[in-house]
Amino acid sequence: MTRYIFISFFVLVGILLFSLASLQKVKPEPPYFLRFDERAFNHQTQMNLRVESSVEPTDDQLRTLEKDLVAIWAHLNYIYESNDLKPGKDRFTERFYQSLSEAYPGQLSGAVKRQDISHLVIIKNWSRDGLACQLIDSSAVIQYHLPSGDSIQTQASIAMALYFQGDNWRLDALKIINEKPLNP
Amino acid sequence: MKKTLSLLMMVWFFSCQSPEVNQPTWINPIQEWRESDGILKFKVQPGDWSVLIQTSSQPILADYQVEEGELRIAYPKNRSFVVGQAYIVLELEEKSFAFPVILNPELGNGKLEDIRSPKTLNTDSSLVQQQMRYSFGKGGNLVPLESGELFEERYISQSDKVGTFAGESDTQLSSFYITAGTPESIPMTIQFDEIQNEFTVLAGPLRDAFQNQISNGTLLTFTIRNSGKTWIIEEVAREGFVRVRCSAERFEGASVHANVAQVFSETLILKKP
Repeated sequence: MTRYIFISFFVLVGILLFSLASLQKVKPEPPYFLRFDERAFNHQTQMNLRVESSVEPTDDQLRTLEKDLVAIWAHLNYIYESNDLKPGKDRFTERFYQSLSEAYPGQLSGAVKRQDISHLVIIKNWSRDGLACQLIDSSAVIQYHLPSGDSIQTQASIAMALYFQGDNWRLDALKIINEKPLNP
Repeated sequence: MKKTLSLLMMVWFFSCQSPEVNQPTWINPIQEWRESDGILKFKVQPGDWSVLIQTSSQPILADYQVEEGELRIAYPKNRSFVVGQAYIVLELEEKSFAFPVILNPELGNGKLEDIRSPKTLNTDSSLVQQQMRYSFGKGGNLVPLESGELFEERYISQSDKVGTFAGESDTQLSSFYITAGTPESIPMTIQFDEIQNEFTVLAGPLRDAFQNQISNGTLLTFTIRNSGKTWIIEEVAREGFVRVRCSAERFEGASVHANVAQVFSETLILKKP
């Protein structure tokens, strides 16, 4: 009997050591162009764009902007509930990322979940080189899921300044103006 | 043995059952939380509470303490975040309660961003430049400019003087350049050096239409024709001048002209004085 206990003890220690070793395996980060942004891909929202700028973007540029705005929202919402900054680091400019990571306590799990339902984006300014733009999301509908099970829908104007850096648009600064509960 | 086991099972079962957590009551409820409002107070049941503030950008840890059934949360004054709708989240034993509050701290002036497009202007083309301005505040917030607007766009006519210029903000993105265009004309002279027995063809000073010296490294093409043969020599400009030396033995009597793109000099003959 004692022999079996001893053997099972050693087997357990073996399993523990093995699992520790496999936990420490370093996962190399794939290069930028091979990375697949799952969060952005799975993000569902309604994005409407309207151009009011003196310089008009081409259809191709608009498509890219729309895709990247969806991705930026996917990551903003993810950070909102998790404080996990790294997956979205390519969606923000350096200084915006820096302000997010100032006094960073690590991941936190927020009980309130945020979801962006729809956007009506008005492009105010578009740079002639196509590398910067400023826009106002004139009626963004946002839904908060509270831990009590309730959800609250709000509507706000959201001003955003973006830069095209690397391979995509990045959020540089934003202002949420006049967020009010939306009564259905 | 069986009895002990069932007893143990019972103890285990009841230890897993946590008592019901009561909803905390907000003693001093407010819509917008300013620094002057001080601490937020909640009436809570005793326990190991944890407190988060979910700001518009990210959750942040709050400074709080629980004393005699009262949970007190200090204003997050040294933290930067995107202002707007926030939620105070109180958590006890995996049960969470969220209380909405608007966080709208003073952001000050922010850092001016001054974007110029195009970044490099050339006196050959339009000198009109697009300028876009906005202000980047603490925590990634957009701050209104002096005019009260969040964004401003202007078209500026730049001067015809070449150089590197700083924009209105001191960020790298705001600097811009004005470069000289193609030369307006190519004045050319020929000198003869008797000791070396060679001609020096000197083109310059080369200036653009606005009397700016053309950029160093501008390529000038000399075409020398002598008894049915043509030599093409390319030389770069330095400080507005270009020099080419040709031996008199070989090139005496040759014709020479120079050009930069579509601008040609007059044709001169290499002859000894």
